[in-house]
Amino acid sequence: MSSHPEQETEGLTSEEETDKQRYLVFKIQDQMYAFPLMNIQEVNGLLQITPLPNVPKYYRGLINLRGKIISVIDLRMKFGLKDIVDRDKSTSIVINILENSVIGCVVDEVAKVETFSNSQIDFSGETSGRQVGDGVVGIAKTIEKQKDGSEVQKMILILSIEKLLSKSDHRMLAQNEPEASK
Amino acid sequence: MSDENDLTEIFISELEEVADSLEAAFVQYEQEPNEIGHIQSIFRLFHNVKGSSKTIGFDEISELAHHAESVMAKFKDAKATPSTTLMELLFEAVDCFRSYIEKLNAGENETSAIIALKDKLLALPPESLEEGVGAPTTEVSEAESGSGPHESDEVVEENIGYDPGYEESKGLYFFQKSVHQEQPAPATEETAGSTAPVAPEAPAQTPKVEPPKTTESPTEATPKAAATKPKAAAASKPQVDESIKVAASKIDEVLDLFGEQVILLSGLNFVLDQGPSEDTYDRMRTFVNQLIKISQDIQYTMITLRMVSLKPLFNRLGRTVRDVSKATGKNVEYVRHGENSELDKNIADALIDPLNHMIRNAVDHGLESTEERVQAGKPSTGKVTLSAQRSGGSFKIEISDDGKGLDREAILRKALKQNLIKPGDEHKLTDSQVYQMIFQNGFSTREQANEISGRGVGMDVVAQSIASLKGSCKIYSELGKGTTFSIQLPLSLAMFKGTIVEVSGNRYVIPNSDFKEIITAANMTTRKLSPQKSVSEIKDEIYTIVDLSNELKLNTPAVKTSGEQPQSTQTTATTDSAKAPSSPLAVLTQLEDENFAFIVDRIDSQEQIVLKELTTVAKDIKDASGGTILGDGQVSLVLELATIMRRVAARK
Repeated sequence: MSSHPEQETEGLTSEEETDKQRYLVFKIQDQMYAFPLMNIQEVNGLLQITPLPNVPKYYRGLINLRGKIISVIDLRMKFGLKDIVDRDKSTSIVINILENSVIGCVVDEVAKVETFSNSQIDFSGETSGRQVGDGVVGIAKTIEKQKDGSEVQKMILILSIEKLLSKSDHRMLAQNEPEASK
Repeated sequence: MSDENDLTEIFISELEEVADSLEAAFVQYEQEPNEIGHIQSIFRLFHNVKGSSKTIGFDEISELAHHAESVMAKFKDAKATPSTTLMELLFEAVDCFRSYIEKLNAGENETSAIIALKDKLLALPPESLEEGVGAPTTEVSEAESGSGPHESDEVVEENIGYDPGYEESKGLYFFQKSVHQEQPAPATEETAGSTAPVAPEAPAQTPKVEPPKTTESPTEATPKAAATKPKAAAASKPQVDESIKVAASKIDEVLDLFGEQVILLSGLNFVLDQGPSEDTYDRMRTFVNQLIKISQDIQYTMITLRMVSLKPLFNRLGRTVRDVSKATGKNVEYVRHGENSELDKNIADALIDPLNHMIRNAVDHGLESTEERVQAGKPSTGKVTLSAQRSGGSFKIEISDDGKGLDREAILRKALKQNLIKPGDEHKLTDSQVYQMIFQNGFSTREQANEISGRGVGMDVVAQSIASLKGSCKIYSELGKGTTFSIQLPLSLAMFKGTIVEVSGNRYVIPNSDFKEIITAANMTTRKLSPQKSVSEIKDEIYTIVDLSNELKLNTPAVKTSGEQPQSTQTTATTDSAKAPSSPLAVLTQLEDENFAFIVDRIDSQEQIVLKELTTVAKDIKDASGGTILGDGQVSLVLELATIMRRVAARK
């Protein structure tokens, strides 16, 4: 992993302010996304993934996380982006906590942990044309300082893992069994 | 609080055991009414329950046990034989204990059933206790309703007054009194604010007060006390953790093995501390080999910790045989073999319902009526045999009856009626295929359903539960001679021997119990029946070919890293097999008499597989029953061949 987001922001946040929440920000093909840090168990490098038969493409397979078998999905594929066959070392697996289990998400690169107050996030649902199936629940706007000193406004799409794994995916999975093969 | 919960846990497991033993004793007693030993053990068991439940404060149970005990005291010296009415009530007590345990496990303390039963017991007129005297059930219900005649209090008096020389009886008397003093205190205090007017003296607690109230008042007074008291305990811990009894020797065994492991680890550490030298690798190898051995031993022993004796299950099924034989008026001999064999607790628990159903069927459907048996020249007493046996890595349970056997024609008629088969197909089916149909939903050949069995619900559920335990059920039957249901089960759900096979560069595990043999597919000639189905003749039998690489299509290319991440074995494996092209292999198996040959690229190894549950999206993969982690740390799917076979078989 290229960065250590935990240490970077530990001192900066004041958790007393309830409308503020910390997010794990990561990158997939030049777009920034974020998961609420609360729901993140850990971030791993790219572990060996066992591919699974008869599943949708975005469903990468299974990893061995310290003796536990964890499912891994690829957000790149989930968002319908082009697959990268040769991943570089910045590729990470973000382990999200679900109600009864955890699930891994392959992302291009984990950037940082950032705190947003709720006022910074647009939850209005106008998610720049993105489908709900993509799991985007809001957009956070931040100002990022460039190397030359100029400021650029950046958009970070806030994701919900539950929304990402909506029921339709499960149905799709069930239907993906090979019928009479050609 | 936690102490209290511990006590409750101990009590529950104790009560469970007592219920099992009681049941067994009752059944035995009914069979050999002259054997005093049975009465004595029933008496002792009730006495035990009385003591332990009183200690922990489950007064209702204690009282029920107490009354049962005092009734049994009468018969203890074999001066009389209990009537059937009484026996039914005592059997009911066992059921009552069981349902109470269930409630306790769910964190409730529901005692109304117990109190009702106690009252029924109390209300039994004395003359109905003994065999030979009429036991008019009307009287019982009258007494129950509260308007009962004076007999009800006389019963109790009679019970208590019986055999004054008997010490226990005196004890009862005191016990009654002490209950009278202690019991109402919490009851009245706690229910003081409640609307129901409770007689503070709780006169019903002593039998010498107005007769009608003996049966009426306790039902009112005690549930209140019961409802209020254990509430706190229930709130703090809603579910009681399940506990298993383990022999101390087994735990010692595990501890010994752990000790050895620690010694080996420090030995290994010592070699490492000495720094690299010529023989370091060999010395480490020795230690590691020993460690592998020890770890396996620990794993095996740990699995046996979960093993429980099948005796309670056998006893319980004996009760079912008894109940059904009573209800159907058949004479049945219940033969049991191998009741001391052990099985994983999860499997044993899950077997209760299906076995219960099957044994019910055996007595109700399998066995003929006494007249029919005599006519057929068979002994009038039917025989139902339950046997359990461990054979190698699996476990076999068989239920046999010497009844009329399955009627192939009747099953076929029914199957035609239900459109399960096409007309004209009848003669193509083998006997075993026909018999398997009774596992279909809604299948019953009995013309009329009765309350015991015959509604056609159940056998499909039985089949499902056995399948969910990774087991299989075979039926052997001979018309006029009897039927045998043979259930094959794994010893443990968590561990089994498996073969690791390779398909399109990915490794999968096939449980060894799922296939017959593996042969080379090199010289196999296949015939295409249709674009989707091809068959081959292997050893004079027709096999449907299942191309696993086609069934298990990988949509996702393997993720690779350009960095120094260790290359996946799956990619190296493919290059290996490309270098030395080994011919594909065929894994032979069968499902419901159709043979299947699964084509795999190669066999990796045979290993002891630890099954791990799949979560989230992965659990929807029906082709796999779970996953496992292989020696190199990679995850592998454990294939569910039956699902794949059904899918392939459905293709035309």
